[in-house]
Amino acid sequence: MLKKTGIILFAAFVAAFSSPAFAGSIEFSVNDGKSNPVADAVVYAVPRDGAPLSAPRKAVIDQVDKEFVGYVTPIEKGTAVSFPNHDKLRHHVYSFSEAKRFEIPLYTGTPANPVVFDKPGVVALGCNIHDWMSAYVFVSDTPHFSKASDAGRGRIENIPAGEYDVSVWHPKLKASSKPASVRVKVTDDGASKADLQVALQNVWRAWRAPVASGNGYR
Amino acid sequence: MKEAELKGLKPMARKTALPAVFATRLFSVKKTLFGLLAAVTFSATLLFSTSASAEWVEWIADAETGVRVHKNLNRSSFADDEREGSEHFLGLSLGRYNQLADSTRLRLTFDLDYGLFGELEQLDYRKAGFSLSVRQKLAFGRNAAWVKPNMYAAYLDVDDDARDSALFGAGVQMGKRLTERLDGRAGYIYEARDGEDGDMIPGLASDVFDQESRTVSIEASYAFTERVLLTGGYAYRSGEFDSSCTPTNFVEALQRADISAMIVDDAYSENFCTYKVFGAINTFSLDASYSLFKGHGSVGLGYEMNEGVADDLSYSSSAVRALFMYSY
Repeated sequence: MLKKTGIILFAAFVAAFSSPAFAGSIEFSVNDGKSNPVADAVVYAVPRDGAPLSAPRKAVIDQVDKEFVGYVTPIEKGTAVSFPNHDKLRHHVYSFSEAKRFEIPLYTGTPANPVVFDKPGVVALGCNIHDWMSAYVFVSDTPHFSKASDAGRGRIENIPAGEYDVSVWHPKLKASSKPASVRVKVTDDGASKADLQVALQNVWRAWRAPVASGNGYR
Repeated sequence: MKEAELKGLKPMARKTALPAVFATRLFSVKKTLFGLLAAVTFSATLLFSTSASAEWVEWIADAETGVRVHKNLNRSSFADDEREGSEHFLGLSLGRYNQLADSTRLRLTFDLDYGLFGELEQLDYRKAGFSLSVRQKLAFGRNAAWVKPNMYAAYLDVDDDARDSALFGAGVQMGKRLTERLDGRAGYIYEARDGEDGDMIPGLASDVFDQESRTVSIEASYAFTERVLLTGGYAYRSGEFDSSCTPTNFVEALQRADISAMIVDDAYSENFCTYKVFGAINTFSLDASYSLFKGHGSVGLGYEMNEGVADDLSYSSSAVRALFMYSY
């Protein structure tokens, strides 16, 4: 009896702390319609029958050489993000975005309290001291997401079998274009494929490089 | 003064100058020393002091080098007297930022400039000075308008001693990121140059390089691509400037403009008359910069055109420059 109970407890432990026993993946590629890969595109899969969010996570967005490390950081709703400053100077990180308005006034080192992103959406980051610093946080409503590599490719791992709407977001996504979305059936025995095409437009950040006129920024 | 006399001009030896001239020069030296001392004291005070709310937060180490090719370098109103020259230059700025408040930052730098004019070696120069500015953002974020009072003080040492000068400037600049790609700025600056007296001509003042001016300017930068920035500017300068001509044309210059000082000038490899007039200069400029090293550096190409008018005298000059800049 004790042995049987032990086996049941062990099975429950494994089930609770490991990936789903039957989980597939989605391999994706993102291009701009001219066969150019789209790096930093966030691809996310929303189950057609809905799914609970996973446990709260943590993430880090660093600042080095007066730039944010990582142009795009995808996170799940509820994630606490810390913004360590590894420059030997002060930054003043802020966002005006509706999904998360916040400000970390002039600081060095790592702020004591991380910022919790509790609404899904896109959060544009800036620094009030170094105007050219620019980065984005994509706050996902689903735990199934991943970011495209420089080759425009990626993989969403550990995704339970089922039907998903797979969508893509990128900071340069053309506002007028229809959001790219495909329906994908995930099975337990392998990787499903999703090829996504997006129309991009330039996003211009404040100029950083020195110019003859001084450009006023310094 | 007759033209024949002017052609044979010989500068008076400085030791024979009038006592009044000596007094003026002594006053100039005092002004120069006072200005530099004030700048050094002010800068040192700021550099080594901190308060509860202000802190020195960032070092500045900027460098630039390049070449400028000047057309009508001597701002002559007479086509035959125009001289061209090319200048290799090097500039260094070292300093710090002080964050006075969330949206207020002070910039203080020690600046060194060095220029070589090739054949016109009398124009080779060295310049050392300080510049100070305080940028106040009027709102929060990258698109906020800003205003920046600024000043500088420097000493210019030219191989041609008459051009040695103390330089001062104080002004204000304001700007705003107008769209994602377009950035606009406007400014005003008062500038004063306190020069040495040149080789004198009897009966004429010789303080050609004592000059004052006021300049208003507007400028816009447009991000042509993510790495190419185009900048266009216009400036209107009202004040004194120096212009040169050969002795042959000096009488005509004298008839056409109110010349307040004149020297015999051999900086252009031959005897010129360099004189001071009061007038206006319109400057148009266009620059293209290509960003390098993740925004730390740039290479640039620029063109500047000047149209100057003083009474019935006018001149046109221009310069093309190619430069490399690096900012730590």
